[in-house]
Amino acid sequence: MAGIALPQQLEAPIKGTSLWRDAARRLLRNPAAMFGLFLVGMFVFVAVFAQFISPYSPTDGSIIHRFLPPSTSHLLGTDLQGRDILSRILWGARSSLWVSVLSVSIGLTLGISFGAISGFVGGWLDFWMMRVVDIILSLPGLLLTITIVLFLGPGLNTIALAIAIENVPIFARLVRAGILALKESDFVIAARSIGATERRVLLQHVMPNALTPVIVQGTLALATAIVDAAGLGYLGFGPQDPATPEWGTMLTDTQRYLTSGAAYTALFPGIAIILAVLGFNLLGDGLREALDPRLKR
Amino acid sequence: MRTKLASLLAIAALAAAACGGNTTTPAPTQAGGATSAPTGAPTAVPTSAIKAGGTWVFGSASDPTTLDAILMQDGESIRIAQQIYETLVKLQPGSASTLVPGLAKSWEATPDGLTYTFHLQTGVKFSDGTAFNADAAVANVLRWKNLPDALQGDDYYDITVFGGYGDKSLIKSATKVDDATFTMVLTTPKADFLTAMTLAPFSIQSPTALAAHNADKGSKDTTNDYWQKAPTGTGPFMFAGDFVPGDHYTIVKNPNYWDTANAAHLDKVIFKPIADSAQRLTALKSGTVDTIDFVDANQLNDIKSDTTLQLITRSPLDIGRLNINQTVKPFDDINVRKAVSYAIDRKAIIDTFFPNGAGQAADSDLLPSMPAYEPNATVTGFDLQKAKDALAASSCKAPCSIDFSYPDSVSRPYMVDPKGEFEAIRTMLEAAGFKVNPQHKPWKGGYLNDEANGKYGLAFIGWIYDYADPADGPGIFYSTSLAKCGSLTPTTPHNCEAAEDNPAVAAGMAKAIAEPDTAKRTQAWKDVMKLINADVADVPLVWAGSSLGLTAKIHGFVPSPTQTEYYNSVWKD
Amino acid sequence: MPPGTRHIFTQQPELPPSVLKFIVRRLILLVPILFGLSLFMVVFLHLLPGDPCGAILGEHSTAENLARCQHGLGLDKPLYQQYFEYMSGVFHGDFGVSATNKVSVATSFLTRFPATIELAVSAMIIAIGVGIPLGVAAAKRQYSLFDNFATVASLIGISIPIFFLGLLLQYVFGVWLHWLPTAGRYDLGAYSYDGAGTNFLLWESLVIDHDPAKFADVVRHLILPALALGTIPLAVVARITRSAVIEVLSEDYVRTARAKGLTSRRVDSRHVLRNAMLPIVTVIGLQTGLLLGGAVLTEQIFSWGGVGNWLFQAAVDKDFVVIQSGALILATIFVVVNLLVDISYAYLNPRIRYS
Repeated sequence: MAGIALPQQLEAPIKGTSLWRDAARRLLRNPAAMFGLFLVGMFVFVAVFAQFISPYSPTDGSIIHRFLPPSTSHLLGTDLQGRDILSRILWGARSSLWVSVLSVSIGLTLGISFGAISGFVGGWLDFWMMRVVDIILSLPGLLLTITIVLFLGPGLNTIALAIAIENVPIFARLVRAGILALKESDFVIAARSIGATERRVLLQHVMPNALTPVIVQGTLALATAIVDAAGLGYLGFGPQDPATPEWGTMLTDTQRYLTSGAAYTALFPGIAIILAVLGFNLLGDGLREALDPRLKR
Repeated sequence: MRTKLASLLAIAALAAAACGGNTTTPAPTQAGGATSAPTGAPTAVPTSAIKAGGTWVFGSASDPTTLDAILMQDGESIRIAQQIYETLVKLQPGSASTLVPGLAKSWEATPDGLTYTFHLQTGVKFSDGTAFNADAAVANVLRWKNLPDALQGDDYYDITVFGGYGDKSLIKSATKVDDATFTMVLTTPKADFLTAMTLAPFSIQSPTALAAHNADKGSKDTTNDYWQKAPTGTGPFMFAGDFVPGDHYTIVKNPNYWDTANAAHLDKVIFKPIADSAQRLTALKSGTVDTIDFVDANQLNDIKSDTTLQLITRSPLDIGRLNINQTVKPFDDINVRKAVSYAIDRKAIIDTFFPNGAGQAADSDLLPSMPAYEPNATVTGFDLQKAKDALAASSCKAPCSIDFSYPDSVSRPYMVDPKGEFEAIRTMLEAAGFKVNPQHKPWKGGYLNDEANGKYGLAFIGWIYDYADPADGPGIFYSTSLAKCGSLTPTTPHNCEAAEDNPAVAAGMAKAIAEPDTAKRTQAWKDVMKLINADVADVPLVWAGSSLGLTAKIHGFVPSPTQTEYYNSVWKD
Repeated sequence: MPPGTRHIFTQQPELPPSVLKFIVRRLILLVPILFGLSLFMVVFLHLLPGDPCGAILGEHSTAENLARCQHGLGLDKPLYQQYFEYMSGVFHGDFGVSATNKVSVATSFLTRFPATIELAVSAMIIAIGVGIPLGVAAAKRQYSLFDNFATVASLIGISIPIFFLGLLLQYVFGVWLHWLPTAGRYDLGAYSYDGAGTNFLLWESLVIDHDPAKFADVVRHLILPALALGTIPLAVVARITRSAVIEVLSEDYVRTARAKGLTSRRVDSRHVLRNAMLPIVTVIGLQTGLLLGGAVLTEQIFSWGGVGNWLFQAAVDKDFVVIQSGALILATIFVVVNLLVDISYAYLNPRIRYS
């Protein structure tokens, strides 16, 4: 599919720098991607500096002060437990960022190792490793995630791990496909012929080129992880400590109180999710076009 | 369970007497919900206004899980069973204790309380045409006694009421006297026997249909399609084959219902499963269903303020509570338990989670409507200073670190928003000097198992009474642990949740259960409750009634605290 | 997971020389996959906390009752024995019986899968019917205001959590405007359907019952869930169409066709779309495969009696047999759908021939 655009990458095979520089230039010229980068930047900034910019502690409150409407003291009002919603949204960015980054890191590490071994070794090992991938991919995604969370118990880390396991086969396949295509390509054969070791060929030549679609997919997976975590929150699988602010859980916790005049308590986290996910999607989209000149954007 | 607490009924009888009813002289049933019901019941309407026909779409919480009556345990199955089946003895609509005739038009017991003679209605047929007579009744009773091996373990009420199968069953024998009379002999007296006979699992089913559909084959045997294809009773409604799992379950009017004065008004009732309470309300408001059950307390006003809707609230007969396992540290220290109980502002909980009269702050596992109710004299309500003092006097100094467990993915009438309530209570406990470590698991995905096996020191839990009796509540929570918890072959009824090992409580309960005299038994239970209160064996939180939301077109619904509700009186504009 | 970005980058399968050999090989591969899956599921599920007895007993869960129930269900047997009994059933075509409601898995699946198919196909019809024209239009006016709008709109479509969208749709069109129903597949009060037929309600109402009003009612019930479920595939299809069309538009033969004086419309239909179809069909196939696995969130929100709803409930209830068998059946369907997608390459890509 569109993501694997091998011939173009071969134009600058051994020294990858010009490929990256080209890509960066194309990315900077793409206004949608820049808006995405801005949203992602905001999201990361808020997540990192939550304790300095949030007006209240995200966990302080009392049900006596529940569902206060937005006012100057509580810009977005308070939630069921009388906690400041703005502060919880700001802190919630941290949970979402943590889940998405952790899940993609785990998914990438496992997926790349898996795909690289499979693709580079080949043979029967490759065959059976790909069957394992088939097994995981053939399971309905959300159900797999839910059973893993049920197994490991609630918590942001287990949610991240569950989402990561869902991503592993996708990354593995991408990496393997890239390696298979590149392994027999001219520049690798050339590298071998000048005496480079297998290991050196893999690390220096094959991997960087096989990674391009992985980078794009990784960015998009950050977005998917936020949505997945929110979906798990909707189904009742949130952080281990319910006081931990998490957008998906915030959105769904108040669902039963919507008609008690607390509609905004659900709306704001919903908007936060959409903005963060949109940011990663715009950026990922821009990256894809930047890294794949054939798409000419 | 109730087997151990072998006899009761005293309370039920007392309540019945108070209501002017009589447990042995059956009163005639009345048509069209003309009996007065506890709260929110629609007022009686002149029969001329009743409109026959129509379809009632009922938004239930889930599909039935079985309709082989004796195997039923869950409310949604029982809801349907109460319409298509009938029991020998029924509860008067709206009452939790007044007995009225069902398939038996009268009955009498020998003075030793061992032999019951039932005189059956005549001219009754099951909806498959099989005649209902003493043979059919005896066949059903013997099926309870000799429940096939393959079905043992699927039932709950059978083992709970009769204590065992075959020779171990409380039922010694069931014998036909003539076509319209049979006797049941018990091995030991059981004062709540007749009340138990009103429970839907003891419905009389067509022996022909049971045999034809291999109901006695195990549930794993696919030739057993009795409940899915042919649940057959004598009730005002019947199943006509329309069941699409996950989508709907339909029952239709039984055109040949024997009690013509109480025949159904509606042509059809369709049960539409909608798991989420917020989704149920959405479905009601958008007109997808006519009625929903278990309205979220926070949404009661939503229904009240809508003129096209009406709200019916059942009187509470449940208890939402924090269970304490006294063997888990630091809850072995009574001062810690006291501190927990003092720290909780029940009024704030009620205002937030059970508003609009949905619940009352509880100070006992028993409800004030029960004669044995004994308010808690040890912990007299919310008092932050006393909570701090109690904690200071305890072995666990502030910040006292405790695990506190709540269930995910569940909403019950006594526990509408477990996580929300947990967070609110956590704040209160931390104000008193506790350090709370949250623990949670899905209700069905391990929480119930763990709670039952005593793994939680402090945990959200609750109980819905099958009928108003202390034996069906505290009698279960605080029974002594006689077997190893979690063992696969317990030999004696036991309970691991509370680990209330006070010998005086155990002795008191044994005495209360054995006491034949009503007044003395009530007093014995009061004494037990005083001991339990003094031990601070648990933290009662709320007595909550459940509510139904109905469109204004629906009339004649009679709510019951035990959810024993008959839909033959319901009609639709 | 929202079935959006998951398969965008999956590689095209390597295609063997003969279609028949190819199909046979893929079907043989199914055997180890399913065997591994069953083993994985049985072991994994039994490691999960809880068992179906909690779901069956509810408040009545006491240590004693739980033990009786576990014994009744055979859960106290050794795991290998449970697995052996289960698999020997499967080999005889018996997928087991639900622990919670004692309905056979095969029966439940057959009544529920049509509901899922109807919803998935409706969602895909929306996705294809709107997504392809949108993508083509955007590609033809590349970098125009419309193109940018379409790009951002489709990204927002991918970014909205599906349950949030579903709830919004319900509140707006169900509760506020009272235009559309929010739960179920048809008006239970007005029509009846007893599950004796195919359970494809569109088909049943129109072809079997000849009842256009009932058909219209079924369609009305489909709109909101199909919109909620179709949004992500719509965005994915629109995006892939756009990039595929842009790519084809730049190919020599299109320029040649234009140069020869063919009208733009003729070039579009004859050359561009046909050549751009390969990636589009792939995405449609993959998305359909994912949707057929059951849309847990959508089915949950709209009380849709499909397989997603069913398996989710089974997971929550720890209904082992249902999850095991359900996953086996769905995995088979998923693999078969993917196989069909692969075969369709032969017809769409003139460069790939199986012989």
